[in-house]
Amino acid sequence: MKYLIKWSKEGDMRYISHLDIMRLFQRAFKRTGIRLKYTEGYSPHPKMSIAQPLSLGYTSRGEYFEFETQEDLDPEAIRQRMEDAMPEGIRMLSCTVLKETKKAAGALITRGDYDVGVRLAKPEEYEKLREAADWFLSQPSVIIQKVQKKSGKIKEIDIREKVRALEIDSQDDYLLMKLKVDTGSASNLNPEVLLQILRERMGISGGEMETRIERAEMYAESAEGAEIPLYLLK
Amino acid sequence: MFEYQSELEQKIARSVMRVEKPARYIGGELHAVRKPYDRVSMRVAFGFPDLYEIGMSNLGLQILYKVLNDIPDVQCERVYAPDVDFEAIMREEEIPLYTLETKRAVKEADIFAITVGYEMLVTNVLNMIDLAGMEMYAKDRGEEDPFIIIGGPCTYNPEPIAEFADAFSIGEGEEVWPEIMEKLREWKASGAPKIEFLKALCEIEGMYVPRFYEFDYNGDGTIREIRKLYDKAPDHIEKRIIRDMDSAPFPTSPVVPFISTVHDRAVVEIFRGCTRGCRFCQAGMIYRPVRERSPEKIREIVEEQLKATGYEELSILSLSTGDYSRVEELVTDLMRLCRESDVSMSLPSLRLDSFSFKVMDEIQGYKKSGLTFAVEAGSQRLRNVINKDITEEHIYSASRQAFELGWHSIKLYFMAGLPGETDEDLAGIADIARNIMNIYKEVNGKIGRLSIHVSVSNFVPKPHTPFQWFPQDTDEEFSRKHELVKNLIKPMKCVRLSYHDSATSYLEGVLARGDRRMCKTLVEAVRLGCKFDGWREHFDYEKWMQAFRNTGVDPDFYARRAWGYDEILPWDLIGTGVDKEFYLSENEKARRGEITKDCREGCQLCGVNRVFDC
Ligand code: SF4
Repeated sequence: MKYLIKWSKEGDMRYISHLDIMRLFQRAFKRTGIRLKYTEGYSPHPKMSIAQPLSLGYTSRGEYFEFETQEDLDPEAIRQRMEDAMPEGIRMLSCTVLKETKKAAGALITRGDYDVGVRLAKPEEYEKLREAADWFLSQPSVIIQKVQKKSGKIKEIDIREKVRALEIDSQDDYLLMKLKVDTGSASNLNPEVLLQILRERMGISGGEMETRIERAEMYAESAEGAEIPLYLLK
Repeated sequence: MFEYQSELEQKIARSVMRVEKPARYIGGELHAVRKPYDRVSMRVAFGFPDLYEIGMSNLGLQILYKVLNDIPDVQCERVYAPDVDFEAIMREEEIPLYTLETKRAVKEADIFAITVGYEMLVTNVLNMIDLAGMEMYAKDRGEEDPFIIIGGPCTYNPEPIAEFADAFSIGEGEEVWPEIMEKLREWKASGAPKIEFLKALCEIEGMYVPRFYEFDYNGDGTIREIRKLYDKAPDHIEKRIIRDMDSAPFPTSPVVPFISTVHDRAVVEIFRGCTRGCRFCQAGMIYRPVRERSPEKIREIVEEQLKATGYEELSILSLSTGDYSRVEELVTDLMRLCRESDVSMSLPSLRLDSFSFKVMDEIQGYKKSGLTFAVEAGSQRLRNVINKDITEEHIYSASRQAFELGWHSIKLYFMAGLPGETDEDLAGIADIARNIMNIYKEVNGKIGRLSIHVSVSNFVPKPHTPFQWFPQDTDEEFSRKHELVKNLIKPMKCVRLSYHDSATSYLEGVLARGDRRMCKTLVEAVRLGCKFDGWREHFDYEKWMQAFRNTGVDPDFYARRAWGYDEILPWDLIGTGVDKEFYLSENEKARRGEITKDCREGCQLCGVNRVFDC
C-alpha cells in the first residue's frame, strides 16, 4: 500500500540536510519493523521519497513523505509508530493512503506557503521593508538572472509571477511575512531569492537582516482543478 | 519565531549556518539524553578531542555516556572539537565551548572529562580547554572551574599532559566513573575547597592526581626521583578493568548520529585483551588479560541495538576477531541474525582458515575489499624479534586459496624502523609481495586483475611495551627505508605502496614517551597554532620544532635515545598489571631473536594474573 505522511521539522532539526533526513526515515522504518517495498533491478532501494526537499536552515510544519509498504497497515498506526521512532523535533502529523499511481504525490505540488520572520538591525528599516514589498507587488515583472547549473548559460527568470501573495504582519519585535509562492517542478521559488531582492531594494546586506523561514503547507491540483493541501490528496 | 533558551543558544543558531555540516554542532540525535534540569544534581561534559564524525564513532565514549546517564541525577553531555571554520566563528562571536545536550558552556559543568586515544590529539585537548574559557594549567584554574579528568589509552603515560589535568582515570572507565560521581556528590555536599575532592579521588583505585607528585631530574635529563607531595596519594596507580564482560554495561541504545560518521553502524565488543604478545604493541599489553563476552550476551546486545537504532550494518569489535574462543558459533549465529533482519555485517581481522573463507564468501563485499595480512616484518628472523606469530607459508597458502576462490586483491601491513632491522628485512617486504604475485600467476595464468597493497607504517616505541627502551629511527632513516622498499616494488605494476608520514611518526614517538617537562612545549605549540595534528592537512612540523626550541626541550632526548633499563621511566607510576621485569625479559629475548608463545598455550608469567584473573 502507498501512504503519505505529513510531518514537521522543528527547532534544531532545521540543520539536518535532506540526505540525512532520508537516512533518518529509513532507519526509523527499520526501528518500527514496518517493511518497505523495494524497487526492482540491480541495486534495489526502498520505495520512499520526500516531496520538494526543504532548504537547510528552514523549519516546516508542512513536509511530506511518501512510501510503499509490503503489508497493508492502518495509516494511523503507521503514524503513531513512526512518531515514536523519531527524535524530538520531527513529528508525524498525519498519514493517509494514496492511490497507487505511477506518479509521486510530490510531483503534483504547485504551491507552497511560507512564514518568514524578519528582524532588522534598525527600527526605521521595517518601514523600508514594507515599502520594498509594496514596490515588488506593484511591478508587472521582476527579472533576475540565473546561471544554469548544467549549461552555464544565463537565464532570465521573472520572480514576480512566482509570488502569488505577500502579506506583512507586525509582531512584537519582528515582521512576519506570509508568502504564497510557486513550488514544484514546473515553477519554483525559494523564499530566500525574494528576500534577496527585497534587501537589494532596501540597500542592506544579508548580515543586517535576521530571518526565520518556515514552510507552512504545500498544495497540489486536485482532479477537479482546485488547489488543495497535499494531505487531502486521494 | 525568534525565541531562544539563552543568549548562547541564539549565538549558536546565528553561527552554525555559516559553517560546514551544522549538524555537528546541534545535538538532538536519537537517544541523546537530556534530563529535566531540576532532576540533575551533577553535570559531566564529556569531551572527545577530534571532530564529531570521529568522536561519535568512539565506542568508549558511548559506553561511558551510558554509564553516567544511568545514574539518575547525573547528566552526561557530549562535546567534540569544533572544526577550524566553526572555531574561528566561536572565537569571534565569543561562543564558549558548549555541550550538545544542553547547549550550556562546558565551564558550567562539574567535571570536564576528556578521553585521549592518540598522542597527536593533545593539542586539541588544550585547545578545547582554552575554547571552554579555562586556563590550560590546572594550577591556574579557579575554585569555580570544573574539574578536568582525562582518561583513555593515551593516559598510560599521562606525564606530557599531567599539568593540565586535575586527575587521570587509568584503565577502563565503566566501574570507576560511578565511584568518581559518588565522591563528587559527597564533596559538593561538604562545600569544601576543590583540593579536598582531589584528595578524595586518591581513595579510588586507578585515579592519578598529578599535582600530588613531583619529579626530580639528574644532570643528564633522566629522572632521579618521583616524590609524593600528599602522603595518602598511592605509590603506584594500577589500571582499572572490568572483570566480567557479561555484566559490564554496554550501550544497547547508542546515540545515532544524523550525519554519516566514520563508523556509522551498530557495534558490539566481543572481547578485550590479546594473548599474542607482539612486543611492539601497546594495546596487546595494556588491555590484558583477555576477557570474553559470551555469545548469548553478544546476541542479546546485537538484537537490542539493531531494534533501537535501525542501523543497516553491524560490526564486531575486538583486537582480533579470530582469537575469540567460540568464533565459529558466534559468527554463524550473528550472520543468521543479520540475514533475518536485513542487516549487512562486517567482520574485521578473522584468522584465515577454511571456516573464515566460507564466511567471507557469504558476506557481500568482502571479495572487493580483499584479504588483509598484518605481516609487520619482512623476514622470519625479524618477526621472531617482534614476536609476530605469522609465517610466510601461512600467507602463501591462504593467498592461494583466496585466488582459487576468485579473489583479486590483498593488503599487507608492515612496519619500518623495527629494532634490529636490516636492509635485508626490508627487501623481504618486496619478496613477499613478489611471491604472492607469482602465486596469483600460477592460479590465474596471468597478472590480470591482481592488486596488492603494501602499507608500511613507522615503528614508534610505546610505553608499557617490551620495546619501550628502544630508540626510534630518524626521519632520514625512515625516508631512506621507504625509498628502498619503493624501488624494489616499483617493477611490480600490480603492487601499490603507501607509507606513513615520518615527521608525524617522530612526533608521535616524542609525545609517547614524554615527561612533565613537555607540558610547556604543548602550550607553546598550541600558541603557535598547532591543532588537529593527526590530520595531514593541519599538521605543521615546523611549528612543532619551533615550540620545542622556544621551550628548550630536546625532542630527540625522548624519541631517539636508547633508554636504560635502570632508568626511572616517566610512566613508572602507572601500572598495567604487567611486570616491568616481564617487559625487560621480553626485550632481552627480542635481542636474542627468541619468541614467546601465545599465553593461551600456557601462561608466560607476565604478572597480570597477580592483580587480575586470567
Ligand atoms: S598472566 Fe599469563 S596468561 Fe595472563 S596475560 Fe600474562 S602471560 Fe597471559
